[in-house]
Amino acid sequence: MILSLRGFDAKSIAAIMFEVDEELGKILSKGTKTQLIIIGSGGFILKGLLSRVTYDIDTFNVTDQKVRNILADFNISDIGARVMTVCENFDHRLEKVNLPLEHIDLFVLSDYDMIISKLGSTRPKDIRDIIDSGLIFRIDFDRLEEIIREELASVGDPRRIWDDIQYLKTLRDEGGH
Amino acid sequence: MRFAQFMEQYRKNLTDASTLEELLQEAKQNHRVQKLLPVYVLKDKDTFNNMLELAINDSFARKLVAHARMTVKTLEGSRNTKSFKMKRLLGHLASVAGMPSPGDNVAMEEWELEGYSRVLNSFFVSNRVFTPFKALKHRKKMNSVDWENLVDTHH
Repeated sequence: MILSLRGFDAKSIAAIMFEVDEELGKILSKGTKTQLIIIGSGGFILKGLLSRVTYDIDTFNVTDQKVRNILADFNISDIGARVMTVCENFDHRLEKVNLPLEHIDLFVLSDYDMIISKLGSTRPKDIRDIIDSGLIFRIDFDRLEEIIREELASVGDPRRIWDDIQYLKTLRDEGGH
Repeated sequence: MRFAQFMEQYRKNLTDASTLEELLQEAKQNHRVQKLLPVYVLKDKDTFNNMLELAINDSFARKLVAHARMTVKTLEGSRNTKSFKMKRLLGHLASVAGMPSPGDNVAMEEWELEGYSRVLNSFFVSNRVFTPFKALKHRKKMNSVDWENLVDTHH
């Protein structure tokens, strides 16, 4: 099977992770695994929520500089995580990606945290991904608001976050258009 | 795959807009196209010169032309640019952009440079990872994956 060069779908992301895994094996101690959490559109694609491709893979914060250097070689960066809206217990809700990796524990965000990650940003944002993925029809908005009220941890204008939620609820009520 | 070819494929995967005028209009509303365009116009001299023509009457086009040049200049001068292949590509892109050129008095945010840099890097990743050899190497692993249940979802 020759993978297409047409951007990164789920299988292409998997192929990249196999390469990353191999490189990490050269620097990590035997039996050691590093945790990687894929955020952004890569997460949507791995979960089968978007049919488009991506050319960037974003991860949550990576503290080990050697690991970051290897990831950078594969255009994988954690820089987006610095401006991402995060709730405290997001790591309790992580979802495992089932790939045969020896040196990586690979995760994506839960549906709720994927939406939260896109809220409140002052930068151009991908509300479109939340809509196109159908997540606004999948989740319980009461639960979403509860998580934000109880756990909001990161930078971001709270007013903007609640404005974004209201906008999404309106779209949901209008059928996503 | 050559850089120009990769840029065309990237564009097609991103948008139905095909002419530079269409891409420019879409970039004003679509941040992904906006991220691509300064790098896309560097794919060859004709495309870059066409963008220069548009920039005469369009301030947004002027900004993107400036960002294209600033990105090449910044990455060429960066200590983090170590790869010979990247340096070679940047040298080529500088020549497409007619550099060195008079300074561009346009602000570029760090996140914008990061975005353009990643567009460039995706070219090298695609060529590095997606080869017949690598596909063969990982075939067993790929075949072992349950793609229908790739992620353990919570609800």
